[in-house]
This record gives sequence, structure tokens and C-alpha cells, in this order.
Amino acid sequence: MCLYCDLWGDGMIWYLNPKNYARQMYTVRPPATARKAATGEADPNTYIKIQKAVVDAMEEGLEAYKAIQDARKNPPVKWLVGGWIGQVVPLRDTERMVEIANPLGLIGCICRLRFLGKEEPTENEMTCMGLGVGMLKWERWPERYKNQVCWVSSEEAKEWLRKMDKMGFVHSLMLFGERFIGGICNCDYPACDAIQQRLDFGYNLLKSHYVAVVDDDLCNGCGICVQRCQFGALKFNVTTDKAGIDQFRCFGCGLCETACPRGAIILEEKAKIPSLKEVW
Amino acid sequence: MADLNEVKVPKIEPVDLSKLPVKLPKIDIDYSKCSVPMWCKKCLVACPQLVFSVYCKQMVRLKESDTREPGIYEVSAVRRDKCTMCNKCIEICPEGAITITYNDVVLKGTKTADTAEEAKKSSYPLFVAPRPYSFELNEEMIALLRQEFEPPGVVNKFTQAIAGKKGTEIDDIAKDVFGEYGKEWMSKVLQLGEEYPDRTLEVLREVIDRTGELFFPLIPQRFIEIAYLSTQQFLKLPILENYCHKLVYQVPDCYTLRLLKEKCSSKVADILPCKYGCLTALEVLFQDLNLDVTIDMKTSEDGYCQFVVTSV
Repeated sequence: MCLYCDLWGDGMIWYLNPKNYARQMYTVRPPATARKAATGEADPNTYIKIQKAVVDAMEEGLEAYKAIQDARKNPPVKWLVGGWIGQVVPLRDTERMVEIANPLGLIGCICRLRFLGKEEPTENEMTCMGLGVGMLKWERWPERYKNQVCWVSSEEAKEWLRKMDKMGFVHSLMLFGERFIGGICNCDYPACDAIQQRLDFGYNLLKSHYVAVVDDDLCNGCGICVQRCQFGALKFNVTTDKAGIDQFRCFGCGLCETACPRGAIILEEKAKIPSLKEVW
Repeated sequence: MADLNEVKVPKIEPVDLSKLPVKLPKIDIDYSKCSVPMWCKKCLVACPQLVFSVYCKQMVRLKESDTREPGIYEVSAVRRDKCTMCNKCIEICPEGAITITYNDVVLKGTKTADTAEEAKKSSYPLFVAPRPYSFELNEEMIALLRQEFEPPGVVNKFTQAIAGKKGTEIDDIAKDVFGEYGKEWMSKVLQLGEEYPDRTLEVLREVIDRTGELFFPLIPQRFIEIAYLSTQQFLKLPILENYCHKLVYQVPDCYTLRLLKEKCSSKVADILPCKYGCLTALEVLFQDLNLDVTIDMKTSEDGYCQFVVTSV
């Protein structure tokens, strides 16, 4: 079972469980004596430090590298279970997520801001979505949001998600606190921090609950799907003149499925496939 | 400068444990030269391998950092394991701040422009929050409500009223005493909640205006939070579910119930006479907001009262 379904699913796919989106709007300050200094978000540079340390450890040797990977799997923040912060989610499930989560605010992507210095100042450029009542307080951290949040209704959000899908972005959800899903990312390798960390070092992002399968009878070998795969799982099989998917590499993002003009690729639930059901 | 053809950087993608340790290019950035990387961004854009990352050194509440101001942002070669030593960043860096070292190979820029000076002349729209700016509940409002509705008052009234009474009589008295309390309590919360807005509410109203959604559950949720936070001793109300059909919350370690257990017999406390307070308050709230809902109360697995409001 998926790590988070086990912990927070209550018998369903965890990101479809409304309990993982609910949060209070207000906190009353403790009495003055117990009041600590205002706690902000986690150190914005924590990830930079970890990333640097991992690369430094590669230079130091196997032991140092293994030690830091182990430390990464037991992070100091208790809600970061096993060092995972998110999961790939196919379009069809993100559309169900935005029906549960609220409010929904489009924001600029923090990863692209960090790696490319790319600001996404208008609604048309925004590629990330913040979820939950915490978003109502986004103005506390204008640096993080670069002064822009565009509120959308759930129908508008679905339309926007379909646009992101058409552009070729992988959808993934992000955890922000214990049992709290705070965002839907739309990104690609290598600009996306999460996908990058997973593909380069094997942590941060869980695979989705699905795996893509090609129906050879329907596939006519047009190749449209091939360019969409961000995970190196999909290639064009010259021998058979069809698309071919390595199911162990597949992350189940469904970008190939939504691109196929003939409906020849479908997402199957991993739970039904013995060798894949424990592959996350 | 050394001959680039002679440099051999091992390819390690994905990480091959059998090859560790590996020798990677060392990328140094001279921060005395590179001071406005978020404004400049040239190395970030030029690098084909996305080796560089730029970040704000210290985020400040309610203030956006000025990309033109020296020393606020820093660029760092976090993905130097991906560096191919193609030299593009060194060629483009206007300040010659980047040095790449690999064994005895040293690649270094030669330009000496002052980007910070250039940045000063440009404009950048900055967000500065208007003050005062409170996202939390108004403390004066909480104090006013606490003064009037703190549980000891109503619990005393109830214990006096049930002195010498039995069985169903107690239930009727509970309905009267706590029912009246709940009604007054929520009416005051509704009145003061409107009189003392906060920035969170203002933004929520913007969202409701913009999307036509979220009046339920978030507007009632705010009043419910005010009601409990001003009378209970916990610092935040556990909201279990809040989406377009449902609002579920718990009251952990209820102060009212604790007082009842101290002052009445456990037999009286066990029938939860205080539930009429919470239930009446919820009825008053949803009637006032003109929302058609069903209200259920149950005891949760942890022994707390749990309220489920379902939108009809």
C-alpha cells in the first residue's frame, strides 16, 4: 500500500480523503509568558543545504553518501515521513482533488523561480496551485508568492489543470504539514525540485497509484506520446512500430494517456499488478 | 586556461554507488562580485544543466525582498554533479564571479561589469503590506467574549438549578440553561465577528466574490472558531473536514465538561447537559447565515464531542 494511504487514507486513496485538506483558520496566541518568537515557514534554504550536502557526500565516498541518504529518510520534521513530500497524481485525480480542497489559488512556481529565476507574474503564466485555508494568509510571505495569487473556482481549476496537462506538465501534490495537502505542482524534469530529486537521488516524490499500459491493437505508432514522458519510461519501439512503456520506470502521471489521439494508452491501477503494487 | 578537451568529468546519472567517491567540479561564486543574482539571472538561464539555484537568504514577514538590493539573494551551484564544464556560465557572467575547478583545471571569468549599479537604475514593483495587518482574530474581541461567556458562569447557573432535581427534570433544565446560553453566545459571536474583521476574512471575502464558492464552509467555520477559541482553553480548534458539502470539527478536552465533572455527579456530567449549548449555538449560526444544513453530534473515538454539519 502507498505509504500515505496506509497512514492517512482511512480506507481510501489518501488524497481523495477530505480529512487531508482540512485545517483551522485561526490560532489564538498563547499567554505572553509562553509566547515564542514568531515561527515562520521552514527555513526556505533547507532544501538548498540538503541538496548541497548530498552532492558533497558523493565526493566524500559511499559511507558519507549512504549516511546522508539515511538522514534524508528520517527527517527532523515529524510529518515528513521517510523524506517524501509529494506524490505524482494523474489529471483525472487532480480534478477530483480540486473538488475537495478549498480555496484554490494559482501561484507562481517556486522551483522555476529558484532554478531559472523565472517569475510567473500573470494568471496565464502561473503553473502552481496552492490549496487550503492557509492560502488566505499568503500575504504574510509576499516574497514566496511574488505578490500574486489568482483565486479560481473548482471548475476553473479543472480547466486550468487540463491546460497544464496539454502543455505537458506532470501533476504532483505537495504536503505542507502533517496530514495536509497544500498544493498541486505542474512541472517537468529538471526544473521541478521534486521530480529532480527523485530521478537524481531517489527521494522526495512517490509514484502515482497507476501505471500506463499500451493497447497494441489501437496504437498506430504515431509517436505523439513519446515526447511527453518526463521519466524515460516511454519509447518508440521500432521493431513493432508501437509505443513501448517500461512499467518499472513509469510514474503513472498519465501524460501519455491524455495525449493519445486513439485512446491506445490507459492507466491501470497498480494494486492489480503483483510486481508493481509495492513499487512507489 | 587549460584545454577543455583534456578534462574528463565522470557521468553519474543516476548515482552509481559502486563509483563513489566521485570527483566533481567545484564551482565557486565570489559573492563580493555577485550581489544581485535574482535581478541578473544570467547564469541561471545560460546553464543547460540547471546547475545553479538562486534563493532569498532571509524571508521577511509582510515584505517582499527587493531583487535590486545587493546581498539579499544568493546564487549557488547546488547541482554541480550535473556540471559538464561547458563554460557557458563563465562566458556570460558580467562580473566574472564564477570559478570552476576540476583537478588542475581552473576556469575563470574575466568580465568586470558592476551589475548592482545597473540594477539600481531599473524598477521593480514591490509588495508592501498596508498596516495594521492582522491575519489572526482580534484579541479585544476574544477578551470581550471570554469575559461574558466563559464556562464557569453557565456551569454554576446549571448546578444551582439542578440542586435536588432528578432524571428527566435535569435534562429539561439543561435544555433551558445551556440552550439559552448557546443562543446568547452565538448571537454575540455573530455580532462581534462582523464588528472585528481581520485580514484573513477580507481575503476570504475576495475569494467568495471572485469564485462564487466557499461561503459554506468557511464563513460559518470562522464564527465557530471564534466561539470556541474565546471560551475554551485550547489554542486552535481541530477542523477534521471542511469542503463544499461538510464541516466537521472536534472539541478536545472541553473546559465546560471538565467543570461539570468537578461540580456535578458523574451521572449528570455523562449525559452531556452542555451539548444543548453547542447545538443551539450551531442552529442559531446557520439560521442567521441562511444556510440549509443538518447538524449531527457524536462522541469521537478519542472521547471528544464531534460535530458534523452537512450542507443540504
